[in-house]
Amino acid sequence: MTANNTRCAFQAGLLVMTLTGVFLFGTNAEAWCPFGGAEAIYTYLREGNLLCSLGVSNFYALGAVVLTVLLLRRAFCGYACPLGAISEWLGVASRRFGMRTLRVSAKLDRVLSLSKYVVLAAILAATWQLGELAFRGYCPAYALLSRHGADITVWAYVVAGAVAAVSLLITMPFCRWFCPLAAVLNPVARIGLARIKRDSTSCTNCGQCAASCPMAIPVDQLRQVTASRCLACMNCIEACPNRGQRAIFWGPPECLGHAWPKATVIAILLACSVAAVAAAYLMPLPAFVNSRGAAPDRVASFELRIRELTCRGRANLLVGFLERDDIYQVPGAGPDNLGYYKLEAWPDPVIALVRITYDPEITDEDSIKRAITEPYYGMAENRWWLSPFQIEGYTTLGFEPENQ
Amino acid sequence: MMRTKQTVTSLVILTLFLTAAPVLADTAEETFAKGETLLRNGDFSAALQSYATAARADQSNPEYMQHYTMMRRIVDLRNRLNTETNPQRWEYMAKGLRAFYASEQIYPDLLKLDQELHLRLKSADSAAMLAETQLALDQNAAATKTLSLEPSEATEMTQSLLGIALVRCGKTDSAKQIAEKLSLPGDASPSVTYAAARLYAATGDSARAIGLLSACFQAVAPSQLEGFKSRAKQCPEFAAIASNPEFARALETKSKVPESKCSEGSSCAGCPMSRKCPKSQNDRK
Repeated sequence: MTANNTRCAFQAGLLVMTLTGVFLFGTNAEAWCPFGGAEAIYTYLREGNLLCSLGVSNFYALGAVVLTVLLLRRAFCGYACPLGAISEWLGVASRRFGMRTLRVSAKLDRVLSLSKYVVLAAILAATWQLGELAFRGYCPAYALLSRHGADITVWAYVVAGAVAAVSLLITMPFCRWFCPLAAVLNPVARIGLARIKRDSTSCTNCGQCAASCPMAIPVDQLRQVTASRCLACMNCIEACPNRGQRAIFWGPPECLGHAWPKATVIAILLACSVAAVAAAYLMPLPAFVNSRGAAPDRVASFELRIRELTCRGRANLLVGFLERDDIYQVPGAGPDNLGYYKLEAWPDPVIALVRITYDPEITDEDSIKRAITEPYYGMAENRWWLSPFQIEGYTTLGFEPENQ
Repeated sequence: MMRTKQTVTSLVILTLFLTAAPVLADTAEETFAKGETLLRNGDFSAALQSYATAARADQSNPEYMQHYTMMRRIVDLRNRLNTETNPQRWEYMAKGLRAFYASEQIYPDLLKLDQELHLRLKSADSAAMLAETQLALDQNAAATKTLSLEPSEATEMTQSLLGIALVRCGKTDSAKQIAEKLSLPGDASPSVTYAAARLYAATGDSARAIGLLSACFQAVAPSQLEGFKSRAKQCPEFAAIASNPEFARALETKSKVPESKCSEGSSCAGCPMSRKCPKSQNDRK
């Protein structure tokens, strides 16, 4: 089996696994999107909560991808990204059917490559400004992995269709020029460890390596490929007529050795994926944090399991109930009495975990639970807010109205 | 023999009890419906008991529990209102109760509370609230009296309601004069715009009424739009123009404003206010 076939099988396996997870088991693929981590990081650091639909798993996924990039450059794009795989396969298929691949001049390629930084800047600016996933409505990967519910827009399909159509004519256009994740990874990839190396003594300068590179890297003119866009796809090695004499090979910088087995790429990618999943389960950072006041010397905390705490909007609503200013006001809360409390929540479609830390000198668990579950009248809006939250194992049934 | 007789009798009683029990016991749904009826009749304590029974019988239904907690709060507020000495707290409680009575259309309690609110607050707003209830109860002469304010105190809302009351009392010419003089500010609230639409409909200016009704619907938050539309369909002032196709078109108007608070949906995806969510919550604090 050639390296290219192995890579293709790995890509196909991951894609099938992802699609099975999404469509058969209802997994939220968005929670594992590394670009989601990049989009969410600012809001998380500033406000302590994640953008809607994302989880801390996005940060671990981003961390794992950055680690692979440090070791392997953009091997993630060449081996694991579903969009990259489909785009590449479409290009291969079109050539098999006799369609000509359009070559873009090196100068135009360089100019177009800058587009992804513009795309990234626009997405991050819009996302951080609006506090919501601004790119999701246009994301071709989301069009593929979204389960096609109410939250997908026609624009995402239009972009996905355009990417697919252009991929038939130009090799991996989105990955090369417009992918915002590539823009995030490129600066890291520049210092990536592994690289393609060319032995100029046994190289015949046939140019096959450069011609086979999907990212249009002029491999035949370099001793080492340190370009950040290298996908570690090994197409150049496969294409080399002199590969038996090691005219071209893959490995670490000279100081760390000569060549690495090609299977190292897959081993590292798998190890990083497992590490990301393990980290998400073993170190589940809260997806929503809200606190007020200064922590006193002595604090108490308790955990609740709450139904209907499904998203960030609902977590904000929970904060609204905790900071109510009526008879069920948590002592120490409310606009005039800045008592300390801290809320950490893991919103979940079924049952969410919530940890509340409070000052036991001024309040207690029961007051907090009642504040969460009792209806609230907002005089400004002249409207009653019924609490949608149900705390597992807690009911106010049997509590009688006072003064009855 | 005696023992056999006793055993048979016990079995018969047990069988009768077991077969009759499901028939006699109301389902949670029925008990809840009974609570709704009791509430409409103004029997708050009995409604509370019914909601509690329904919530206890079907704890998986969050609606039952929500109605129970809401009802308990209302009963609590009713109990506290008469003894509350802090005027600000009293107003908060009274307005909370008023919002509930109005939404459930419990007019006898609403009228009593509005009268007390107006007696204490003596403002154009309290007059408008009382007059709206009086109009809903067809106490039009009383509404006219309530709205007879000094010109300096009158607002667009009180004038609109006064015009409606005058039409209902047969004084259409006076109402038309009010309608001609009425000038709504650009930032008029949906409630004021709605009242003005009612006045124009009552005085026969259907084009203006429909235009204002559309403007009102556009300015209402999505979660409250259906409530406004349902009120418009039942409103006697709009009955004369109900067959007008323009009126039907106005009822199709969509909201053009974002939700002011979390719409309490199951997901933020597609929520019109998700981008403003944190700020919106801060506004409430």
